[in-house]
Amino acid sequence: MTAEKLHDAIGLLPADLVAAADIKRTKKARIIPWKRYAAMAACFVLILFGGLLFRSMLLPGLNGASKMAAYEAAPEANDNAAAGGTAENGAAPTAQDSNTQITAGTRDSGQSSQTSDAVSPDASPSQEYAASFAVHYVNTPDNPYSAQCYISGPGTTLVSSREDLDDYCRENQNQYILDAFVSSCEAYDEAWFQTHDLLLIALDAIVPADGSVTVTDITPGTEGWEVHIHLSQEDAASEYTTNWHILLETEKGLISGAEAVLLIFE
Amino acid sequence: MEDEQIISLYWDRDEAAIRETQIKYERYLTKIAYNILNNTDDSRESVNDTYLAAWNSMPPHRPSILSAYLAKLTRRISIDCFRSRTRDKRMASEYAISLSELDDCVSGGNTTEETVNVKLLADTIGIYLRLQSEEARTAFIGRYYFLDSIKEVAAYCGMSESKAKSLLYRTRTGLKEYLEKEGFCV
Repeated sequence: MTAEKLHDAIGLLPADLVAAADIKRTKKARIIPWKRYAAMAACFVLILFGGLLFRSMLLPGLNGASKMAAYEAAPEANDNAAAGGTAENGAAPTAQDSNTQITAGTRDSGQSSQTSDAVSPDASPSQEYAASFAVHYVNTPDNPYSAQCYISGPGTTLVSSREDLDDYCRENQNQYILDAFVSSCEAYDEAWFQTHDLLLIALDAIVPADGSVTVTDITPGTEGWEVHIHLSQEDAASEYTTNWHILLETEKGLISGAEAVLLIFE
Repeated sequence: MEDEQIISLYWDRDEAAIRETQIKYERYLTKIAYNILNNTDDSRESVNDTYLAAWNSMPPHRPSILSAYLAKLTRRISIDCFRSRTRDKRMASEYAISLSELDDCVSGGNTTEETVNVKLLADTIGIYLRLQSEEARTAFIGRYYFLDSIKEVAAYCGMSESKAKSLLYRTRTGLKEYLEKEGFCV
């Protein structure tokens, strides 16, 4: 037998066998180009990630976990006005108050800080406690995308570790835009918390956007620590208010977690 | 036009049958012819001869599957044309390559039983192929009936060329053993 004879015999195969094979011939096998789909999936993930990143940069506050750009403060907040304003109780500030008022300059990020170098020469003995505290002011407006309406007054939180600080950010990201706050807290790492505590004072919706916030005094009281806060505003008729956070850096253990911290508004 | 209608035209001796066959199957038949002859002009001529052979054979034949019937005609005509060429003109075609591959199944020497019943051999090969997997069957018929290249066989079987080659090799080896078991002198 030769190969040609075999070939001739193959030529006489039953028609159904030939037809069945012919169907397969004309209908090409579906080979899943996994490499192509893998590349497409990778591109999709990159586009999605880039979109989320871009979105978080454009619309801060939507993703509290992401590192957002610093919040741009209103132009009015850049003024170093020492003009008096009405305090919370509506009383006009006295001249003495103006002299003792330590007006902090504001940075572009809507923050301001106050150091013990700005202590007035007429400082009362309680100012020695104030000198122990470094103070930072951070504008933390309401999160406009929050579906929940937060109604709360000023509050204080004593943070003793980086983990506690992160928890605070996580718990409050829905209520506030914490861009500038997160940036301000970058330096507060675990090593810092070995020797310091951080007292957070949230001033909700009572601070005029064009006003200034100043911690004028910190004194130990009968019920705990008293933090004296002065608010001023250029335009008393301004109805626009925003939220601020005061960051008081304290020595480790100076303020006990069990002690009350009273806010005295002037 | 459906195959049944084309066959009816042949039986009615309507010349439209050839025209309809050409419209539906020209490309299909040309591919088979080219696989064997590796020449465009010869392939075209072979396909034209197929139309004539179909006209002359229907009636009395009424094939159940027209495409397979026409493919068989084209295949036989093209192989005859290939064999009529001189050795110098037998360019490398898939038919020539497949012949060398099928040498695995046969000894190649002249046997005393020259009058091998080709039809019986075809039936035996058919039985053997029905015992194989669909993948092996499709690859074997695609390679040695339709004379598609290894690359084409691998493509429509959904496998790599190396896998197609090894599959065909195993199928040829198994065919040889089966033919020997059935009493054929290979």
